[in-house]
Amino acid sequence: MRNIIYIFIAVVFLSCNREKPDFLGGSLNDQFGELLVLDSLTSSTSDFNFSTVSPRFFEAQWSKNLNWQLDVVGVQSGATKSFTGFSSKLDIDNTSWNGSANDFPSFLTESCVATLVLSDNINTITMSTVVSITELKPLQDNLMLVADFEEGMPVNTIKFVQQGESMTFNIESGQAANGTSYYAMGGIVNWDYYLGSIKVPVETEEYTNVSPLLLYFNMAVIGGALGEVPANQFMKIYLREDDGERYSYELNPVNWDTWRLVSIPYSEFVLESDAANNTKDPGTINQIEIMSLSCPSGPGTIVGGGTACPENMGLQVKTDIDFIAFSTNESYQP
Amino acid sequence: MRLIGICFCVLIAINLEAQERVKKVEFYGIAKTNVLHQSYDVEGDTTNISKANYGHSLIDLGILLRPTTSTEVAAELRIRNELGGFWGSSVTYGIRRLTLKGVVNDAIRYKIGDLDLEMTPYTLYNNGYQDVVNEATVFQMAREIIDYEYYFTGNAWRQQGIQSDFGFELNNNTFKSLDVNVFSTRNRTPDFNSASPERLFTGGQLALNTTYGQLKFHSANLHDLKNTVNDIKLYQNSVNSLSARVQLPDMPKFTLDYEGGISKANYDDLVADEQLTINDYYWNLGLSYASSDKLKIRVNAINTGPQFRSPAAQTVRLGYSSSSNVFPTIGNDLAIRKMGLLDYLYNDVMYNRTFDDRLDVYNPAFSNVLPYGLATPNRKGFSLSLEEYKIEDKLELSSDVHLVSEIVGSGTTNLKSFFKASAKANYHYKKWSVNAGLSHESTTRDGDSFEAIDLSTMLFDFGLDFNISENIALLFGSKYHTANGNELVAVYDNYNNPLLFEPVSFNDNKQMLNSLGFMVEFNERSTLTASASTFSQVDERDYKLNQFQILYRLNF
Repeated sequence: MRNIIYIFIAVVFLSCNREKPDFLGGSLNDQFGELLVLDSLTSSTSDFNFSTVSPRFFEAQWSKNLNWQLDVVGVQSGATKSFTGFSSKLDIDNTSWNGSANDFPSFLTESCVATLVLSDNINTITMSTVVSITELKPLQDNLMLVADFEEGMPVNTIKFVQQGESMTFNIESGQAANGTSYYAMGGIVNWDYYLGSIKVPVETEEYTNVSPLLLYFNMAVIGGALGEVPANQFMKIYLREDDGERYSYELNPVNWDTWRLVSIPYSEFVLESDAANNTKDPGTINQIEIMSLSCPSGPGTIVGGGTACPENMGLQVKTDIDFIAFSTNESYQP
Repeated sequence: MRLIGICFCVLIAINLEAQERVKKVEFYGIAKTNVLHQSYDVEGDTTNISKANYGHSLIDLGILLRPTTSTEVAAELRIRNELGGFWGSSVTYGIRRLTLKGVVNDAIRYKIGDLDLEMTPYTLYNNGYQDVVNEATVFQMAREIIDYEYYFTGNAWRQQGIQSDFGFELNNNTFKSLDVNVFSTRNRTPDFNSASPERLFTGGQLALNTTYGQLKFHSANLHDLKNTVNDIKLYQNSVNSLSARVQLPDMPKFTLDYEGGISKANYDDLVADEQLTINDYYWNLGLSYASSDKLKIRVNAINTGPQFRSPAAQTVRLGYSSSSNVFPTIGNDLAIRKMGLLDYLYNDVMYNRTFDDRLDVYNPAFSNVLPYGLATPNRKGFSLSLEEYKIEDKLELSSDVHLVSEIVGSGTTNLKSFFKASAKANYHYKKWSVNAGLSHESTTRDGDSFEAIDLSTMLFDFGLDFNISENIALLFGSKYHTANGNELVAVYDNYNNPLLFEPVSFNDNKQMLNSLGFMVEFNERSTLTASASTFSQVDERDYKLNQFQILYRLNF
């Protein structure tokens, strides 16, 4: 019996084995350690050629895990690409970059300033480096670019402009969402919601077998300056199919002052005409219409009914657009 | 004449039978009056009140009913009146205890109602106070009031439920008998508002008595009962262990004892449909040596895993970081007053009575080495105990030394090292009785400045009793506590894993409680004690408290 007990105790001892982590809980170094830069911010290469598949990333190392943010800003375009994370270093795993931006505007072939901000409870450290984009990223697969206004209006585009003050429905150059040109739509019409539109013909046969859930309508949109945006300034997008069906999407309000990607699955458009086959057929879209609208300030009768918005008196409507494109499976990546 | 003779015989027979019979109804009780006056002294404080009078009188009337020879019902009824509760305005009534116990067929004992349960320090154990080494009589009397009010009997937890024990005689030369003890109690009532389900605590012990010693199986299970509320989360924790105690045949003065077991905590999130199970184990191997009745030494090796979870052994008795409603704030800025030795003995600080599924907050100034007793997770090392040493039946000495460290580092790979040494001495000579105790703890960890720890604490107890006459005694007691250094205390998540660490520092903090009392023993059953105490705390905010207490006790 005695031996049995001894053997039992020995077996229990030998069978005991626990998995041990390095330490319990959050790291004290992360919570209380001093923040020191071990390796300054650098890029994997000084020239970023996004037309090739080679990796492009940033590197840096510091003394503790913390929340960091790296912003790459195009000097000419103002485009921004942000990376965030919780770690003690930057490497290919957390800063690999394919040339895309967070949103419109997209990057140009330009110099970019990359700025890394490290911040713990006590200190904030900022580091910067400069990289050059020598080649832009290629357009993503299955992307159909309808209009980027870099070489004028698409062929057979129909433009309509309402009568009003300071009406601007033209291709403009300058701070575009993509490239250097965009299409400006704006002005003042105090008697009607409708300021103007463009109708662009398209052929989408290649999307015949694509589900409306997976076909995205993409467009860059910018409103007026903050504080000067008329109340109820909005846009309406029509997609017409060759059977006469017209599907619409209302983008309301349009009140932001920087270029922004609007990406809408075709499945979210609603039928606004008489039904033909009452089915969204992505392969039969033949026209895109984009309308600029805003609540008129009055006075007088409002065409089409509705009440006026006197507070919009003297405010200029601005619903500029750029880069109209279809993509499949995912939104366009600016 | 013959009739008188018959009557005489009948009377004698009735009397003899009555003497053999057990009394069917018995009454017992305790009456107490406890009056306290406290005054608070902080220089320049004009905002807080500086005096407080409070106390109570109570009678606990116990009734023992024995409807049959094998059944007993025990009930304790309480009437309590707060000091100043005139004309019954603050009188409360209640039942302090209700227990039914009996024996079935002279073989199976059972108990229903209030139970005092205790198993091993790893499975079910109410660890003692952390501000006590060897307390003076004048403080012990105050401590008894707390123990009585909160049902702290030794290291047992008061629970409500059912318990049964029975045994088997085994017709075997080696295996003598088997004792079985099982219980099931209700540890928590359901709360519909917080969707906290009813919680049961079940377990028991199986003891195999052999010619070489005892082999025991212990089981303690805390688990939620499904469908008592609209369940969101369910919790279950089980601890199963084996212990053995063997006297070495070749060396009869040596005894080997061992306890080892596993814990399993299960968290079931019914909304997220996720389940998390945390397992770990512990062992404790001891060797004790008893040369005679006067000397007992014991050495133990301990290893308690970092994920070991045993709520019934890890719940602390007293919250040393809790606060009191007596002088709750300090200074004109109404800062929270830090509690001290006087509060833990006399004021309304927090005491636990149900088991917590989360590790309780502890105060490293009072216990950092083993804040949850031997069941403290993440500890390995050795302990050496001089359990008893007597010199001429006048002087009794005992001491403990713990040398332990973490198994896994907390927030760092560097491990904390702990050292604890305590010593007690009791001396009796004629009308004098002296008792003293000293406990020292230190915690260290090397490393960079943000992780280095160096904490040192000390608690000293001293008591002196002088019996002026058979019934009158003068009592003096002193407690002194110091804490110096720093510690990083873990803040645990819902699964008792450290989430982050809160820095705690003690800048040569000191507390001292002195008390001088006068005790009159009217008879064996009743005593009156009057004591005057002073307490000072040297901390971020220094303060002093003075106290006068009158305590009358009557047992009947």
